[in-house]
Amino acid sequence: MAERRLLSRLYLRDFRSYPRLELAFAPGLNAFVGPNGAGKTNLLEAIHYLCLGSSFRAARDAEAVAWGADGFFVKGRLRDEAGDLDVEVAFRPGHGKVVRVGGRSLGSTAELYGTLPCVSFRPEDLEWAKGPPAARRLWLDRLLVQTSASYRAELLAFREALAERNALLVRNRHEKAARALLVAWREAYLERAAALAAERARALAEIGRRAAEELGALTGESLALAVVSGGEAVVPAAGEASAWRERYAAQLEAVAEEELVRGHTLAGPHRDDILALLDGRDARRYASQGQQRSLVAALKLAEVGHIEARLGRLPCLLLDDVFSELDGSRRARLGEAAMTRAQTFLTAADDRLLPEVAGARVFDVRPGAAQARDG
Amino acid sequence: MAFPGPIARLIEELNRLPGVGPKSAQRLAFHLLGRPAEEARRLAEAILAARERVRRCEVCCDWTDAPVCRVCSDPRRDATKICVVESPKDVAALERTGRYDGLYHVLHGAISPLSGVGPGDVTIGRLLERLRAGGVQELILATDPDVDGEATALYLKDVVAPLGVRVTRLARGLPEGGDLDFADELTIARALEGRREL
Ligand SMILES: Nc1ncnc2c1ncn2[C@@H]1O[C@H](COP(=O)(O)OP(=O)(O)OP(=O)(O)O)[C@@H](O)[C@H]1O
Ligand SMILES: [Mg+2]
Ligand SMILES: [Zn+2]
Repeated sequence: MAERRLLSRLYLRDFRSYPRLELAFAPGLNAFVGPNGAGKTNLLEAIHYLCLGSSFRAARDAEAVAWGADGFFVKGRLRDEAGDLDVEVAFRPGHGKVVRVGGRSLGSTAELYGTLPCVSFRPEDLEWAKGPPAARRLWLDRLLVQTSASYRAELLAFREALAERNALLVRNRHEKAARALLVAWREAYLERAAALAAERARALAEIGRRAAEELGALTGESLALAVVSGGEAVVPAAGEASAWRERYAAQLEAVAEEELVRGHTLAGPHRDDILALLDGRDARRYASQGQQRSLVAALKLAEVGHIEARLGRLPCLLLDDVFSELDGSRRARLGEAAMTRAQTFLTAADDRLLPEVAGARVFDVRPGAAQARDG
Repeated sequence: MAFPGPIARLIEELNRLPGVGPKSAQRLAFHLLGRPAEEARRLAEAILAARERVRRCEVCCDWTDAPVCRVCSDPRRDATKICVVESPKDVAALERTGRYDGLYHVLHGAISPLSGVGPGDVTIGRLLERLRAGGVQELILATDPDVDGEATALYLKDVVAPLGVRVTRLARGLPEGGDLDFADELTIARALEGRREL
């Protein structure tokens, strides 16, 4: 039985539509109900800040500051076997963001990852199969940074190597850099790119197996996930760094001239895509609406399983509107497999769209306020 | 709340030091003001004396108070080996192990296109002069195991290649992203012994 860490309280100050708000949550299902624009998604976004230190929809923290305010403050009280732990995120434009866990300021947001793991499911996710590659990469990054310290470290080192190499390529356009310098940074970059890609491929293989099992149970279809690198699908089990190094080296070779002109690194994990094969066919091209939905439901369940296996603890679920978009079996499976065990936060426009779960707490949401029903 | 001019100035200067934020700067300033004047004078003098007398060794570029540092002028040191490090702290860390008897070369940084640090901004030119002067058989690259340190090591390997010197790299096994000066002596000694051909 997995241990649980619950979000027992949430406190907001000048966050989006809430000048000030305090809520106490149930250990199971928490539902935010209200009309369009009431501020339901804003609440899930605040919880996401406690999980990953960032928004799931805005690229800039400043967007989440209540209009006219000089900053926002989000605080959550986490409860587990060991007791209470407070997580705080404070942001002021121009001053930056401070994340505190148990009263201690973190050196970087990355240290927060995994403290309160989460799986979010939002309307955009229904486009997982057909959306842009960047969305699929972000999906995987957001999952793996929560479950693997080495992935976090590799990702940071890769981004640094990429930024350094790009800076060199840009400089090189104005003033020719020495060949030895270009070689050194290509090699240093390849090292980090290969290490990250290998780790990502290994994790994807594991998540793919879980998702395939879930999809099999839902629809009977077969599923395989693969990385697409340089236009070629790579079986994720090929998690060898040396193979990735060779692959990227060949790709860099092919784009060498173009890179010098554009001043940008054109091959690496940041250019790869993730591919889902449904019964052997590319979901990007051939999946129907219904098949896409089943696929996403299976992926979400796989995320839950992956987090539970890696961290020994269930994530909280942030379900934005999508629950009502799922029908019969997909809904039942998500509901039974996850919601009855994991703490869940979901939004719905009205009561008819709520799943029936014992012990659920319903919050009526209207602009600037949210209140628990029945006390 | 604004502090009187001289206090504000002291806090501002302390705040410039690495790792000292506005709050620590304030704490340090108040501490200094609370101590006898003599103590403050000693500290100020120590800073000035160090700043005025300490310079880079003409050979290895480490800090020294003589033209040539103690390691470089010690006849018992093995002059066929040079260990290249990013900063004087790393020399101190390697010396603490007592397991290295060669010479050093301090780069005073690592190559970083992002921060505008090129090969000409660290002491690579001086290192090449030392190697061209002959007598060196092994160059041990002990730059940090982070991205900049790796790239700097790879760059050195490339530019040193024509000189026919054996080039090795410290073994990994230093703490995650760890710099030399954070590692314990045993770990550094092992990294030194396990160095490999680059
Ligand atoms: N920075 C901000 N400051 C103040 N109010 C904001 C801010 N950003 C968004 N809002 C308000 O929040 C509302 C949107 O809230 P939210 O996205 O949570 O709605 P919702 O209840 O999820 O609606 P829907 O059912 O349509 O998804 C907007 O109508 C806007 O008025
Ligand atoms: Mg919404
Ligand atoms: Zn010297």
